[in-house]
Amino acid sequence: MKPWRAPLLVAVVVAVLAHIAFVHAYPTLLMRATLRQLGGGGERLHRWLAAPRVTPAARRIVRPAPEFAYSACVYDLSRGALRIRLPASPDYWSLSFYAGNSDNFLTLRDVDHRDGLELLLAAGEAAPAAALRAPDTRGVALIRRLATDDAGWQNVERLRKEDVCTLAAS
Amino acid sequence: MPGAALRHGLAIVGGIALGVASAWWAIGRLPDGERYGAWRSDPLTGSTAADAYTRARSARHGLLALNREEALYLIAAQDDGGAPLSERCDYEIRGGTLPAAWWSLTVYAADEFLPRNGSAAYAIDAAHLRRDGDGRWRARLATTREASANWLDSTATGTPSLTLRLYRPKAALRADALPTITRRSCR
Repeated sequence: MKPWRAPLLVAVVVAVLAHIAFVHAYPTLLMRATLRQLGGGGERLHRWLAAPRVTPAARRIVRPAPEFAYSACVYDLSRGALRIRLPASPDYWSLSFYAGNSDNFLTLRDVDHRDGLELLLAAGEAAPAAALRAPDTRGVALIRRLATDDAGWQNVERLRKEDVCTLAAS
Repeated sequence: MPGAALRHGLAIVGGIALGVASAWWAIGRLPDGERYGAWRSDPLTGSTAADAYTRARSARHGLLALNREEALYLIAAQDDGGAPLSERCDYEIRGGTLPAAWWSLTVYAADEFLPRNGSAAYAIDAAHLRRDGDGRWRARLATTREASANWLDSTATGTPSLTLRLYRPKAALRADALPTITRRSCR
């Protein structure tokens, strides 16, 4: 048994380190995969991607919230600041930003932006003074709009045509 | 007996496998959350201040979730008597004004997806609910609507569960402010 004493000690130390490393890295690894999938590997960056209505046929995400219409915009701020514009809407909506490690670092809400909103999002020291700061260059913006019936969805479809997510002109 | 280098190699590979497997198990376990009558809060609602385990669990079970200031999620898998919810039973859910800017109540099947029963009666919400004269409301969780104004169809759910979503919660949660779930009959 003696020849295994040192390897067993190594195994325990490595297991503890691997455990801690995986727990800390998991949100970033998962988010990276999600951004790659949503962003089409870089093909669908800086534009709104409108999700279809949630129905019982949706089987990808457990416990989906059927009352929301989702739109996502995957961004890479190393290419420049991001410009986002949403039209005014009297109904409940929120615009949430998630960093590359999955942290929700900013959420803007309808009650604070009754006339709609327009913003710049940037990262790094070269960011324009008027821009909101992201903690990371990679991430995703997510709109949640209340749409509980057909009329609500028709309204959302109208609003989506006015949504803007694009790289700001330099 | 393998050589020392091989033994250490095996130890490193085994250690990595054990560490990753135990981490996957640890972030797969859902803590119970706080209980409010039949409801338990979802402890994974997003927060950047959460510890590494909570953040990893949130990523695994609820990536891109709203933060606590924006939404609180509560789940009920049992009635007020503590019995698991069942498709074979009929329930009455009663509530009043809930402490939130807006709320919804959704039924899920045992697989945690919306039930495939063709009725589309899987959710009710604050805006479309029919209330009694005093502002309170009743909903029926059952496989048949009967004469109920508010119906959640439990057909094809097996062991259904409910998610109550409180958007922009206005006050601390109290059990007596949340809907009650009473079993009326079983087949």
